Parts: sequence; C-alpha cells; structure tokens
Amino acid sequence: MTDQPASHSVAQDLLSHLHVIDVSTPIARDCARFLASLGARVTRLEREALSADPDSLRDQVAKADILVESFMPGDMAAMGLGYEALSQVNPGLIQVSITPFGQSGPYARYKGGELVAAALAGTLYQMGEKDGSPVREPGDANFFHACGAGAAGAMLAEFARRKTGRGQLVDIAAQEMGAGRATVALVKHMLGDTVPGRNGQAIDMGNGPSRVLWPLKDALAFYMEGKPGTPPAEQMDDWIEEETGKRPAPSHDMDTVAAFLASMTEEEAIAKTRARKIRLMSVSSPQDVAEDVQLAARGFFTQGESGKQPGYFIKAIARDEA
Amino acid sequence: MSDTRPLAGIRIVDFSWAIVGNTTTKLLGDFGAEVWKIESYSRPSMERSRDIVKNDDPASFDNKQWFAQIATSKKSLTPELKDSRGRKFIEDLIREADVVVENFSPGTITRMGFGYDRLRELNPGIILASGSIFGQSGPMSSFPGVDATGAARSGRIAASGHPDGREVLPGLTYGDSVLPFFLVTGILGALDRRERTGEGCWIDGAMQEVLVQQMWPLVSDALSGKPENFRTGNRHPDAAPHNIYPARGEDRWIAIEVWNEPEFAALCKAIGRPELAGDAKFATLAARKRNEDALDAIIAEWTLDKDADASMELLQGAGVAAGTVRTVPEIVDHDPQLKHRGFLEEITHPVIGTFGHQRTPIGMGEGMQRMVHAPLMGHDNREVCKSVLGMDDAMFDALAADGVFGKQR
Repeated sequence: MTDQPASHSVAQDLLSHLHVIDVSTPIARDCARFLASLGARVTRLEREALSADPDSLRDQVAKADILVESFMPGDMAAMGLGYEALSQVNPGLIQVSITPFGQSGPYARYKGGELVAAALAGTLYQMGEKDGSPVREPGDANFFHACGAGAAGAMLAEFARRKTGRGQLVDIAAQEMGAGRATVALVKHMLGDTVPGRNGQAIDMGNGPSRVLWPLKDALAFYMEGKPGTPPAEQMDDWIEEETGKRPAPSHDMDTVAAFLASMTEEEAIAKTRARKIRLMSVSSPQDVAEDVQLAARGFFTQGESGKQPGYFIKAIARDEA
Repeated sequence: MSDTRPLAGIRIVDFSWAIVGNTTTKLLGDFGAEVWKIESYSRPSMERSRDIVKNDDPASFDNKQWFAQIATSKKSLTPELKDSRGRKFIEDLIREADVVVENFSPGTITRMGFGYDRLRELNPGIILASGSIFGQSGPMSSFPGVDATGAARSGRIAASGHPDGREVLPGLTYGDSVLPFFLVTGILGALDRRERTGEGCWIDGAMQEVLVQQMWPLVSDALSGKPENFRTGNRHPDAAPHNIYPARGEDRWIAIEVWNEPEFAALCKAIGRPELAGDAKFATLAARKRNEDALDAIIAEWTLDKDADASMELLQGAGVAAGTVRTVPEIVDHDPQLKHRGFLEEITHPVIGTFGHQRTPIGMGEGMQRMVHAPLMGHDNREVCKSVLGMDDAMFDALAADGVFGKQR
C-alpha cells in the first residue's frame, strides 16, 4: 500500500453535526459510543438524574437530534418521558430504543439481560459441546449487535427526517438481532432439512460438521477441516508432503493433520499458511489482543484514563488533494 | 405513489460476494436504495452457488434459499469483466452511483481495476465501503479469512465455552452479521458528510476491530488481574444466579438471571423456597457467588420437571428475567414475540415460491422498509441499461448477443 496517495481520517467529521443524548443503561452504551466515534456530540444523562428531574431530559431533547435509551418499554412513559411526549417538545427527535424484546408484543415487558435475550434468540442453543449444555457467547454479544443496528437505524431515521421534517422511534430488539443470525439454519428448517445444532469445536454450514479448532505446539488455531478431494484439503496435503516428505493418505487424514499442526509453532504455522493462502489463524489470548501487531499498526488503541482502550470502530479515509 | 423510504434515490454499485457485503446492501435496499448487484456467471455470489439444503438444484443459480434471504431488494447485473464493454458498463454505473460496496480480500478490488483512486477518477464524490477481516492497511491486511478468523484475533474464541471445558465456536456467524450495521452507519454518515463538504471517502470496516470493541470489557478485566471474568460460561461475575437450567424434555433448558436482592427474593418465592432469601448462604451477591453451585442445584431441582415456557411465564410474571433456550425451529414456528415483530415476512420468489424472508431487524415507522424478492441472475441488465444508461433495446440486444452480459451455463 506504499504507493498510495497520502490520506487523512475523516471519521470524526461524519456525524459532527449531530447531537446525541444518551440515557442508555450499560448493556446498550456502545450505540452512543459508536456515534461519538464518528464525531457526534454525545451528552450523557444518568438514570438517577432523569428520575429526580424529568424536565432535565425535556430541556435536553429540545436541542438534540437523537436520544438513545434502553429502559424497559413503558418506563420512560411512566416518567412522562415517552416518545410521544418528547416528540411534542421536539418533533424532529429521533429516539433509538434498544431493549431485549422490543417496544411491543407479548414479551415487551419481559425482563432480560444478554443471557435471557440470547436464550430466546436461539443463539445460546447453538454453542457448546454436542453432548453438553448450551453455553452463551462471551460478553453482551447480541446487545452489541443491537447497538450497531441502533446506530444504523438512527442514520436511517435522519435520512427520513430530511424528507419529512419529522423524527421517529427506532425500535431494536436484541432477541431479533440474534435470531437474524440463523439464516442458514432457518432456511434448512423451512425446507425440511435437519438443522445442525451445537457442535463443540466443529461448525456445520450445511455440508456436514467441519473441525475448526486445532492445537499447535504453543497455541490454539482456527483452521477449517478440508473435505477430502477438495482444493482446501489438497492444499493441506501439499503442505504436509512438502514438510514431511509424506502425503497424507487418505486425503486430509484427520489424525495426520492434527499431528502435523501440533508440531508447528504459531509463528511457523502463520507464516507458512499465509504463503500458501491456507485459512489458518491462531486464537488470541487477552494479552495477545492487547499486543496485536495489526491493531497496533492501524492505531486502533488509544491511551485513556484507565490505560489502553479501543479507539475507533471503523475508519473513514479521504485522500489529500495534491 | 412515491417511495417514502429513507434511502430512495441513493444508488449503490454492489460488488459483494459474501455475507458482510450482501447483508450491508440488503439493508440499504430494504430501506429504499437502488442496489446494482454486479455478479457474473463465472464468479457468482457465494450464497448463490452453495447448496445448503438437500433439495436445492445444483444446476441453477436462482433457487438458492440462502441467496433469496440475503439478496432482497437488489437488482442483478452480469457484465463480463473480461469484455471491455462489460467493464465500461460498470464504469458508467459508477459514474451514476453514490456508493460502492465490496467485501473482497483487501487489494482485490484495486487489482480488478476498481480501487478507490480509480473510482474517484470516475466519480469524484464516490463513497467506497469495504468490509474485511483485518482492514485495508497493516501487516495482516491481506490475510485470507472468514468469520471465525476475526473471532480468533479478538479474544472471542478464547472466551467461548465453559470455564472448565474446551474453547468452542458458535454454530452461527457473529462478525459477519455484526459488521454490516457498522458499515451502514459509516456509509450513511459519509453520504451526510458529502452533502456538507462535497467530498467522498473510503469507509474501512475491519471485523477484528469491531469484535475487539465488543470483547474489550472482558479483555480489559482479564488484563487487570481478573482472569476469572474472561471465560465464564453462562455465569456472570456481577450476578447470581445467572445460568441455564434443565427443563422437561430432551435438551430443554431455561435461562435465569438475577441482578439484585428484590429479584432474588421474587425468585425464591416463585420456586416455593422463600426462606432462601434470608439464608446466610445466599442472602447477598457475595454469598451467592461463594455458594453458586449449591444455589444452581436448588434452582435446577425446581426447573427439571417443568415445561420451559411455563417456567419462563411464571418467573417473568414474578419479575424475574427468564427465557426458554429456543431452538431454530422454535424461532421460526413458535416464538410469539418474533412473530409479533415480523421477523419473517412472507413474500413470493418467482422460482422458489412463497416463504418467510428475514426482514432487516430495524423497527421503524410505516413505509420505511420494504423487501422485494431476490433477483434472478441477470434479471435487470436490460432495464438498467435503458433507464440508467439511456440505451435503447437495439443497443442492449447487440451487447447481449455478443455475450457482454455473460451466458447461462
């Protein structure tokens, strides 16, 4: 990329004209964080301040473009701060509501954090050992996904507002975000195929389970098992033959591949698979993430009050004019 | 009737060939943008060619359910890149477009002749949105990868599984599904900025980075001396009980979360054990964390012989967060909340028939979102040549007869 013209980041310009009020609870805070990373001016109000003085929010939204909130549906209205009431103060107000199940419907008033939302989304069932219990994904995975959708929804509403002059409520449900990830599985179910369940260290994209996690000498690696006779399997067969003088028989023999990979260090395996365009990648520990060379090269981390922390979510680059 | 959707009038050249790009442009199309999907018979979109269900016809590009889900609200164009007239057709579209979307390995779009600098020559205000695993710069940029590659380098795989078990992977995509919403926000922000400044830009979305944003609270805890907070399985360092429990039937489970003392008292009462709330072993969060195995066993004893949905309704009625661990068949056929939200909307595809299509999961007012069935291969070549590029039928027919738009295999 060295021959490319010089460029500069414009990420902070994208939303610099937008003022966001963030009253979200911690599980939905990434929505306003993301908008702020694109230059939006974000004012945070804590829930306690809201309950103590509801007028403070009315005053704030009168001057704001976007409100992000994640209270139980109905709770804001009970404080006199429902979308109807706030849009009377500011008809152009865009409200992004991020909740486990959405603003209406039979589960709208159901309580749920990430675990319960993941359960009803169907994502929880899909991870874990084949014969063991389901296990949730790390962190607030579905709510984070919902925060991304909330930001996109805020911008869609901003585009609609330019045409109509009016804001609207953007209703995001963590359950629906998770359920939406099941595209392949739900298609299989609708057509009467068996839906692959959780599969431990293998995944099944429709053509049977493929093992994806393999121990190296000093690390764990992601590498998707090649099916015998396919180009990916032959790439692995070629590599093993070149290194050991012996071609696996049958093609991509699982024990041979496992023993071979276990003899490789992380450094060797990554360099050699890169040259061969084999999709193998070592699994990062927390330390590895913090020291990741790619993230460092891209300037991803910043130094905050509490030490190293992620900076941008996405980059936006403009070319310097000559 | 005029199109009331927010993105009506915005035009997208779509080079997507896998989940990240295709989900991004589905969203843009569902909300009103005109999406010109550039495909070819020689290199079709991944979802068009993979037979994921046994009754797909491998000889056809037009009967793939996966593609039907992920390519709603797009137009299909099939110019041959090897033909200079096919390339000119794409260049002419780029001149008319607002945004180009692609998700190739970094460097590929430039080698194809449609890199950002070439796009700017064709259309100075163009916005390019690129989705990739590692981003467009840096030492690992060109590494080949998939959804799990990004997960591997974010801490996500290392944090997945039970604390006393092996690392596991989810049977569903995550990074592939999440990145599109960040790309869309960037694209719309870039359009907004272009209106103010007249200048386009290049949106560079890296799956690894978005996933590290998601994982950072856990990574940061682990680095600051709380490694027990990294791989917690179904438990949570700040809540107890917080787990799944067996329910009646094979492989049936219910999730329960308790975040404060009133919720714990409500749970104890609901399961017929009100005395537990005052028991020194469980009376505070710290005590419950110390005795979590014993507490989980007591709850499991109650859930074990009960229907999961019945327990969920009873506990939710008592003010306790609880949810059945749903299977995929249940989210399609049974879950009343997803039905209420219109998670799947029946529309008719000319080859596959009428079936539930996944809407883009952003709830907005009437008239904001509408799905049109996924296009048949090459369906819109003639219409786009005429309406966008001003050709007449004879001009189009001459190009088509020469194979500029490819041939059915």
